[in-house]
Amino acid sequence: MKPKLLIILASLVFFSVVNAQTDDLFKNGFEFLARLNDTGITWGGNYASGNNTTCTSNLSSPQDCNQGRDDTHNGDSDGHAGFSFTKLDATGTPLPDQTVDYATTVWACVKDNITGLVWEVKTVDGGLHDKNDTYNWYNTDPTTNGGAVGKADDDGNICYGYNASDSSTFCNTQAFAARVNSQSLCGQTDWRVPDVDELSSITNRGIVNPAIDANYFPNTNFNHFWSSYPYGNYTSHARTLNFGYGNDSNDYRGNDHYVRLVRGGQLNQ
Amino acid sequence: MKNSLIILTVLIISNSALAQQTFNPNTIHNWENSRYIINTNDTVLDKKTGLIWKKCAQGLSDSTCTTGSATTLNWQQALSLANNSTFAGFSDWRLPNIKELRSLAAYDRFSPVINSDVFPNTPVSFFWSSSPVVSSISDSWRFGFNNGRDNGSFRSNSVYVRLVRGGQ
Repeated sequence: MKPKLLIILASLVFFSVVNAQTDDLFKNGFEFLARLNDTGITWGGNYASGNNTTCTSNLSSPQDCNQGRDDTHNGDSDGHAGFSFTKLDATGTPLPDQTVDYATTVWACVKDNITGLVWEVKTVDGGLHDKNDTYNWYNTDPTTNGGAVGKADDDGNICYGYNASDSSTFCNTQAFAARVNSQSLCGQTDWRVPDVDELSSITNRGIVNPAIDANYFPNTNFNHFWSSYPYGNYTSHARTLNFGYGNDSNDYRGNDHYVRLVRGGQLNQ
Repeated sequence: MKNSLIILTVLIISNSALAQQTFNPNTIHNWENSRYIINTNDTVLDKKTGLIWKKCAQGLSDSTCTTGSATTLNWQQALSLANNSTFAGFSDWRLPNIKELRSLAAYDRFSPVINSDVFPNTPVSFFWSSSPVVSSISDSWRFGFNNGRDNGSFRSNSVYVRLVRGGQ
């Protein structure tokens, strides 16, 4: 075969393969590094108003509830609808009985089996992980803090163990993460403040107050939680996520908000 | 003089209407061009999520998304358009749910909060999701690519649209 013809033929084959590649990637079950959680919405909305209790609608076109894991994996044994969680004890071991309620047997962490993230569970014991403790936003890493460090100690005694003469006890997000790591929560020492995508991943938009599955995340205040993300070039602010409704916002770094730490996963690497 | 004034006014107005995208170098950078694969059929694969997006907002076309004008639709129209679309020869397009829509947000940028090399000429405004708001019977979730925040919007409002497929 003439060399020129061979080259043309080879190029045609190459380009057609490359074009088909991205489609094949997901058709053939290519494993992506991160998987998005579904929204938790299992009911339909009407146009122009009206919400139903099941996935029905006056619209003929599909909407959120018709699609995704909430539709295809709609069992509640491991978390509402498309969610899949595992309760972990203080050593990081899955509870033998995943159906226990928090009042009977506490668990220390929750693993999200879809995203691979592991989450701190807030407590009602007045200790280090107490649900009502709040923190200022503080980050001394200039590559991630958006251009300003925030506030190390703007509100004093708003969290467990505060001691005005010891900066390691200050009620800010960075110091809190360090304290939790020094205690090896669930046997791990790489806990961090989650970014806003990670916080959004555990929101259940099918419910409000809280907008999260309380069977796995008990003691979640219906309010804003800090994320690690700065807010654009507004160096005095950072992004938050509102677990009352599931959407996000932003606030002044010197204000005090709740924090839920996270570790693991590959959502943003 | 009058003509110069008119030209000057037009220039000033058009300049302020063109939101200048800002970039914060002091943040995590998880939205580099290498995260995406831009296909010749004007679809984009996000390798992190497995979602395949229409490169251009609805109403825009060509490789720089500068042909046409971006369409705004109410929620019913947006769902219907997604369901009926056969763009690039695929029939399984949909309106993204709110979590999928949020995954487009590039938080190291502002106005728009998106990678503009990969998704050029994205309106610096709100886009529809397929997700209704549970606490409001007349709202559905939309995401703002102006500042990277989502909120509820009347289903009858006119909002921008970007279609998605795959990844589920």
